[in-house]
Amino acid sequence: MSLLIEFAVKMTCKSCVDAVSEKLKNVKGVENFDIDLDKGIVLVETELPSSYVQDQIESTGRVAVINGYGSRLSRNTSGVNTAAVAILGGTVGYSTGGIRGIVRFIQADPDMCVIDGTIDGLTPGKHGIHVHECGDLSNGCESVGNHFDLSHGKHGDPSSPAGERHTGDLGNIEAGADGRSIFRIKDRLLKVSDVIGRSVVVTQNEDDCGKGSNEKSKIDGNSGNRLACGIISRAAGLFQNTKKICACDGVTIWDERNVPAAGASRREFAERKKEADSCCAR
Amino acid sequence: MRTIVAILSFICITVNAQRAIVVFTTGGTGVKGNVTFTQEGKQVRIEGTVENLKPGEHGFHVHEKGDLSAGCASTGAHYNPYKKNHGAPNDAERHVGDLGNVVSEEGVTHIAFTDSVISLTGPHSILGRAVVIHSDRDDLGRGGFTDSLSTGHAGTRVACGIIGTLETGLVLGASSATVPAISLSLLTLGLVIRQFLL
Repeated sequence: MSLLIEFAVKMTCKSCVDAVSEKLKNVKGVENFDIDLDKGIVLVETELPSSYVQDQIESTGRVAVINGYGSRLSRNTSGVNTAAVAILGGTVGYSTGGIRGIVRFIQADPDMCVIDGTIDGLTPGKHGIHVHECGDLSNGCESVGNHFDLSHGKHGDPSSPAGERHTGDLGNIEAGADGRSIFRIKDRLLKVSDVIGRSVVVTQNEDDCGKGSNEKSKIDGNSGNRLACGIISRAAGLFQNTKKICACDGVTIWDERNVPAAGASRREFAERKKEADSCCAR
Repeated sequence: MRTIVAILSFICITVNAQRAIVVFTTGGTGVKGNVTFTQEGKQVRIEGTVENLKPGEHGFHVHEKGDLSAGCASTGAHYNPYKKNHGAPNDAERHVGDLGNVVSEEGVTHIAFTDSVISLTGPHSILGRAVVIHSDRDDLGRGGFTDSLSTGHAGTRVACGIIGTLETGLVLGASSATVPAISLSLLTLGLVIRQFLL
């Protein structure tokens, strides 16, 4: 199911539009796109993970920030509870070993939630990913409770019906040799409105999805320690971000590794970045 | 018997009500602490301690989004579903998210108050949104500055955190809220019956 991703892109002239347009035309999986120079908005319709599309736009030398995310269905509604975001690690979330990531939840239609994410710093291979019942990080990932479940069922495979899986069971994601995992999961049980205020957790081991022989397999899929987590919070749907906060600043989650979250030094960084990324400069 | 059932259902509703927590870690200013939100009927009790705020009053607001991907800046404006002007917590004309000021004394801010406009349930639930603490005093819409009626002229955002669901700590699992509610209901039932007998 294709979704619309709204990027704020710093574009100041027609040649920026042409460069971005030329790039997106050649990205396989981009079905449609629309560029609004005045508003600095690039709207992309695709099934690709958002971070991949973002990288493609940024490869033209411009900073792109996700401004909104939604489906054609939600485009004309107020977008209540249709988009959520969780930031893992860093100062917002919690993690061990420097893992950082961002996971977005989009209610594509009443029976389909898309979970789109990028997580860095993992060991190569598979890692379980689950929504947990609480959004309490006061004791790191240990205080977020069990897997979120509306059906009082056992742990299981995401393809199983309610009762044979937890609502929050999303299976596994896989990290490459570089430690990065980019994923886009479609799920029929999970709903954005049910998980707001809860949390998403990535585990050390692969989730056996309830197919193991021990009792723990039916609880957490033997997925091991909780490595990184973040609270699932409300995010802007399409065209809900009226302020161009991100576009003016341009400091993205990935830059924040080196940048303070606020204050003068953040502004300095943003200024430097703006200059470096100045549109039309090659 | 009808009275008992009525009391019982009332207790269930109040105890079943949710709790939430904000852990302040974001903002880069060293401000930290935990604040909990407990739904008590139509009121929400807000309690906690925050450290490292400069002495004095600081605006304390629920903002619309819980998106901290660009720090406290990406949380949007004060949560304002009814499109009202900024005001004091006791004003009729206020944003839902207007919780007034908190006071820091020697760097420690004890927070304990109730509010009957915010809610942890329903269409205007504050879950998944953010609480932002500002650098300056919220003038409660009365300062006459250009931004008094929008932000209370409260200055920059020095700390923020996402309002997350809080574990009750009694029973794990999806039914965590119902089990203590039932046990408390039974206790109440016992007390009520005892009173009837006495």
